Amino acid sequence: MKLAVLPLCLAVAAIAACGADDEPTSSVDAIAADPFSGGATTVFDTTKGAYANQAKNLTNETASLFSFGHSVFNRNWVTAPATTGGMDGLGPRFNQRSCSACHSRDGRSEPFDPKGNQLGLLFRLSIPGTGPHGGPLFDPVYGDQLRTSALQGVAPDGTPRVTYAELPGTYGDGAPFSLQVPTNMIDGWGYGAPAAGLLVSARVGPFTIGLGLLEAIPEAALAANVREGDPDGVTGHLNHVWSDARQATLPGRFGWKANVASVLDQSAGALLGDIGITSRLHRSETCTPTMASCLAAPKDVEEYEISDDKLHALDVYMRTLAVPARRDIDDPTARQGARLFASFRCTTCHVTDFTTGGSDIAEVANQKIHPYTDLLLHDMGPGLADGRPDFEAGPSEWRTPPLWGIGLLQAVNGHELLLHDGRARGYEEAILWHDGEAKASRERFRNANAADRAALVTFLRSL
Amino acid sequence: MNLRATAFLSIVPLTILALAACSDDDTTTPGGNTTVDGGSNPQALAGDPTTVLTAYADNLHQAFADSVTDTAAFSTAVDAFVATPSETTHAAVKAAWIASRAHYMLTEGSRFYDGPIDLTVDGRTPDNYETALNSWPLDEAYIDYTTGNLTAGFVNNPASMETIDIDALNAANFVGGDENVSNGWHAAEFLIWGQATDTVGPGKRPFTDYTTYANVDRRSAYLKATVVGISQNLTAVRDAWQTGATYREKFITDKYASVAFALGGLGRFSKGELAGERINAAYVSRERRDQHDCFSSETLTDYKRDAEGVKGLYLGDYAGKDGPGFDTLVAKVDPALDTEIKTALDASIAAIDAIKASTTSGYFEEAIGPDATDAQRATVLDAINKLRAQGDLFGKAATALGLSIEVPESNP
Repeated sequence: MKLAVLPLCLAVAAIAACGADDEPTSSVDAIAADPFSGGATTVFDTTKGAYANQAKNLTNETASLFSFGHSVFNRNWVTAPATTGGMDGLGPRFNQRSCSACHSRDGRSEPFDPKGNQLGLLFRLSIPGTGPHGGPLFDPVYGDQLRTSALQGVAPDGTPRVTYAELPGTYGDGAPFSLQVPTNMIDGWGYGAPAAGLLVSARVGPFTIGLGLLEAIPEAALAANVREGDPDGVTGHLNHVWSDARQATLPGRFGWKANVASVLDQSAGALLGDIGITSRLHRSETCTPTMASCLAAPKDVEEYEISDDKLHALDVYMRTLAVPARRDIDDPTARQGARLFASFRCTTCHVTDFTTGGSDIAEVANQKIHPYTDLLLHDMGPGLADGRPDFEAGPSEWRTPPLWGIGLLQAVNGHELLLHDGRARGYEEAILWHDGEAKASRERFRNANAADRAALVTFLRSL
Repeated sequence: MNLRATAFLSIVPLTILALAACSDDDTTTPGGNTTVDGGSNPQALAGDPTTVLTAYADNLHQAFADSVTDTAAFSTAVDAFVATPSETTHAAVKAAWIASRAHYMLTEGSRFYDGPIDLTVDGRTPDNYETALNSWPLDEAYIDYTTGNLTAGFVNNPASMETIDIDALNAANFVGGDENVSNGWHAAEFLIWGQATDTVGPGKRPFTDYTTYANVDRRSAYLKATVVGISQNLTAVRDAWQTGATYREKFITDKYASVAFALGGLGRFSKGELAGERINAAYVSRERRDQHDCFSSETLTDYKRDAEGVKGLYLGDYAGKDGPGFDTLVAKVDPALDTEIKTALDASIAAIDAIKASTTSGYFEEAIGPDATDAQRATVLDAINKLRAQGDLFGKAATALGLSIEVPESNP
């Protein structure tokens, strides 16, 4: 019954909108004219430090924890046992020595450094099937990710390589474009062959602004964006994932597949997975039973390697990094781009408005925010599919990433390599990769004229 | 199916938004310059800053030149030590290491604006001089044996680094795109003092590590290579501040843009780095070795020199040379603020002295460890607060001059 009513509503809305009635346009403009993307946390900073500020409304008491958390985020961990006992316990296998190596200046490091060394890119590993709590089934030899570095005397897992093939395409007006299609390879397995059917999913670390705000969006507000009967075929659904921090199954909000429930789960998971730091949440290192050199590595004297105080400070830091303000809100091209972003129905998934609920960090509670995400999973088509199921996320599903602050990526990290594995060289390519539930929106962009396409990108750069 | 019903209802308003901009003929004509000048003109307010910026550049050039000279003396002491290791030459090399940092610490207020000390250039090794010179924490086990692993490190593993020299160290420091931090002053410090395992006080590496212990030649080569690296990197930064050098000349001709950089650097170093990263982190963690000079326990010496350096860079004073400094600019627009800044700079130095005075050992670890007294912790907190306040005052000074800088809680 409800479905039957829907097309009528849409038709009415469509007629109203196109009948030279500028009221809806004004409401798009109103959102696009609000520079305070992160509510009262918003900072005005366009320098390379634009992602690294404390929430504008941070109180002095939280500021000390923020400062301490920043130090935990940026410092290198070292081999245990070391004189700096509080920062030892690296490895035995690891990807990087600090959080900031992948999230440079709280941003998004390039996949590889100029010399071709792995930098911000991570390779998740799994095999077909379902693991504990309904999560992915880890590879029995290497676990859940490839670790490309190791302590002296310990074998690293292997060396990843990504090669790209060009995939040419054409805009509606005949202008050509080209997308690069990645192929991931891993050379020199350090502990023998992985299991048959290995699934490899390459992912870059995202920028870390506004995470406390995203965490504080009420679940009901997220569920409200799940669709049925959408004219473009957009559906979307929440992931439900196991939280080690809360010891419960909760909606997934973070990670490229919404496969992590909370900032604390993400931080503790990355500490263990990427740096090899055990915590109260993960007390064992990642060596699998057949990894002799990993198992024989020296251990920290403490029960686990990061103290509870440090983990707490890191959690507070991650949740109180400010969202930078919109720029160019009066720029006519950016305003036009904002209208196109809405008319192409990009806003169906890149949802502009939420109000956060309560939080144990008062600064992020009850804020009107513009994150440009619904935090839901959507089928993005075969081109982007990684084949990896992750709790309720299917092999071709990805979480809508937040777009707030994305226009500062060039200023902060010096590149515009976008999407989960950094394959898109700029905004146009990122949009053109959209498929599946986002196909209709992508086609509106592809078929738009060059000026409109440029206006849309101008708008994205102003976020 | 309550959830589905909610989802359905939410579609309507979103659809209106989505279809709103159907017409793409409706482009707005650009309406001229939309940026509005705030009305402040630093040049009109405080005059031409050229002489101030020139003094700042001259003083930094001299401080880095002095640091290169200090490092040459350190190098001589290292050569004497590894040639004839003894209690005497070991003590001399320790004194030379401490002395080699004295002038460098006076320059640290020039960080955090992508100036020559932390300019990042893609593809260069090292890509950041500060990282190569002064990074911390140090991964001891990459360098030499530790209490947990007597065969650890490049020193004890010829297979992992055949010839130990500065090129090999630079290469090893950037494997995987991140620094392994086995280079610079703190690597030399570790090779001289060794791991600090006492509750309070420096490490007790015996000089016999350079006479009879395993891999003496490789350990000596490592120590010498670190000194070569320190000297090379200091020389490069010195040259960037030299008269006629591209960076320096542009810095001076950029006038108030450079004043904003310099004041921002002083603020960011005072607040995010010295107060935040170096002192507050240790205050909160209560970890005794959460300090830069964790092997030599010379951290408080560094902090005082750092604070004195910030004062000198503000006043334009260095080694007997007296200004003109940024104070002359600030005094023109807000004399009371200039006085407040000068008072704050002295108060910060006094507060760092007070930490030392609260200890019997003279070492930072005594004041921050889990058994530090409330009175000792109060001195540390006071220094943190004074340095934070000092950082904010540099932000105020910029505002008074009509400039806009951020002095955040921490530096990216």
